[in-house]
Amino acid sequence: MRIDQLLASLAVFSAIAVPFLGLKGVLLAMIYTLFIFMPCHFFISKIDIGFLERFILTNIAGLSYSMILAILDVTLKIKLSKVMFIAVPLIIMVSSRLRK
Amino acid sequence: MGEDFKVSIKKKDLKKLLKVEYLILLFFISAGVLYINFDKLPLTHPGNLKASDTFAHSLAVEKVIDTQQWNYDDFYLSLGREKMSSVQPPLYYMDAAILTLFSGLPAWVTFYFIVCISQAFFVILMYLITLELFEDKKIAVLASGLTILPLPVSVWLYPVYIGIWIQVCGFSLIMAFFWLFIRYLKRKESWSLLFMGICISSLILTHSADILLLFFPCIALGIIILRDAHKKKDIRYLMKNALLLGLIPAILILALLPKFLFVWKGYAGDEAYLPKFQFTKTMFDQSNIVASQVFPLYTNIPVWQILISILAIVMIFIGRSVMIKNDKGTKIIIKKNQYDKSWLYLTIYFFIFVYFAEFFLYRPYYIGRMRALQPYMLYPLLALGLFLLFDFIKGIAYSLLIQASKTPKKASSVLEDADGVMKSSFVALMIMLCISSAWTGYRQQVEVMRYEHVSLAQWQSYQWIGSNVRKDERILFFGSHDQSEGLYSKRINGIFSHQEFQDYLKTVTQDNISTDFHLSGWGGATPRSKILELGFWKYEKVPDLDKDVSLYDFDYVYFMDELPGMKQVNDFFISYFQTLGFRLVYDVSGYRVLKNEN
Repeated sequence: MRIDQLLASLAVFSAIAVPFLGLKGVLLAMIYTLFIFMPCHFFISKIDIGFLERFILTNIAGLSYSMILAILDVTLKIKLSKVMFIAVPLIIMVSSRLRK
Repeated sequence: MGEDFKVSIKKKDLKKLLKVEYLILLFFISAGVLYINFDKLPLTHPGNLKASDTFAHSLAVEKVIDTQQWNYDDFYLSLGREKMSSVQPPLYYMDAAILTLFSGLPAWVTFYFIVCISQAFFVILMYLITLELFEDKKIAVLASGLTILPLPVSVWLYPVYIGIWIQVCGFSLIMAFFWLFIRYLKRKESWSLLFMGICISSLILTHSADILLLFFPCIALGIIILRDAHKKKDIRYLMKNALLLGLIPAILILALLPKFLFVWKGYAGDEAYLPKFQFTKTMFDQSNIVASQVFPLYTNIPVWQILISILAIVMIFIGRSVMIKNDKGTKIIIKKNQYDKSWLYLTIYFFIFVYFAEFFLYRPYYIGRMRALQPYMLYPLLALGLFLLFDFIKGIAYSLLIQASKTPKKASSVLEDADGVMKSSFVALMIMLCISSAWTGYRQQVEVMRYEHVSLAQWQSYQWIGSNVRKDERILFFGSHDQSEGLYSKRINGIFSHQEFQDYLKTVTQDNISTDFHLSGWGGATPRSKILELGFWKYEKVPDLDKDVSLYDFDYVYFMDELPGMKQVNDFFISYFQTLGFRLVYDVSGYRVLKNEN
């Protein structure tokens, strides 16, 4: 599931934000990683490519995909959308691993 | 045995520690920090945001949060008219809105964070592109290192400073598309097509005008897919690849067709018309320099970079590299070396596009700004050129050393062993040289740009307006505004700025003060839509509000004692307006608001 790469990405975003925002920088990096980076990370980690390639592709796909969350949460005000947005890719990935 | 094991473990750890990927991530972090440091991320107020466009971008994020939609302009921006169809593509505004909503951090912080990491993506993309082309990690690291703080400062300052924030995000998508494009040409991986489709659709949703640049590469891609399918005589291959590349963009274009035809067409869409052949002087104007040009030129790139890139271009074209051989005396050998030419063709296409397309297009504004990408198109070539030069000079130095040595064979083998270290040292030295050369300019710019467009006291006055002024009430910003910062009051605002104020003062005499003004504009002219949505597939262009107004058209008048002399002038007008039925309702730190009691 490349949890290590997910954590590495969180550390990278934190390293950029923390010098300016302090602990709030960690919060910003965590929100970015959770809602923009992570939903696509597990799917893209299935492609056999290097870390940097995966990092870029996940960011690009994530920044596009998260617009769906904005529509669900901000426009349609579906309360569980945040939880669903994080949980769905996790459930799919865990279940696919269990099936293996 | 135990010692050997320890040593081997240590070597393994060291190798893991020195993985190139980590180094590139370190470059990425450095670039991100340097870009953010330019504007900082102030939490109290959007003080250090540069240029008026950045206010519009931050407010577009806040619009998504305030109105829970992106399709229509906010009330104050549309000057009180409902269903004015927004011209700003939504993607990155929505992303920043999510970050703001979930973290509680202000929109200008979250959006600037996204913009800076998008600009820093170039560091990684340069590495990936160069590695794909020349299959040499050292050349790729060099290209990536040159991108951390490109020379001169205007290369990175232009996009971050001038406020073309969503276009910066679009640029990273264009570069990612180019990387995937050359990767697909080489490896024919079908997933590349899917991600190219995502890049295209994201670009449409980010800065739709930039899609013009990808038009011809997409046609080339289509032809390649067709050709491959024809060779394989496999219709399923054609269908699969066409769907991977085109499905997401096609759905998106269909969904956004009314926006394309009725809203964006009147703005950036004008670019796509081909009605003329004309020379637009401003596109090549060098006099319009602030921190950089509004339309960057090739003159932005240092001459040495252009010359070395040309050397690389020539070598790629002729498919040769020059070597120095040291056996039995020095020999210059011209070696066959088949470089990947795909980036060269893309670079030539890019330069032709950004310099010549504007002769044929109706309004080539955004294409001119796309020239901000030109240094990045050259960096892979520049890195190769630097390495070719280094190889040549190194060859001469080696041969001189071998000739001078008493044991030439031993010297030759020692130098051969040290070759890797020499190359790595060259890469490190070049990166350090480039960053240290750019550092002075960077520091100077950070100092110069430390001023604030919106001070904390001014911000607090806007907060007061936000909680004390009704949404449909109008404010006249009297005498001292030129950067649209009044938009942050989130009320309909008329701007009576420096020039108009000076002209007005000339006409004012003690016994004849006119209450009629000619506004320099209504706040938010740049992001404001002129297109009213009447229904499905029904849109209408509506004119802006009249700029000739009366003092009594406004519910509030806002004064700012920005310059030392302004206080007396403002005092004079405030006391006069008070005789006309206006009452002072806010007076803090040189920011004063009068309320119309009539």
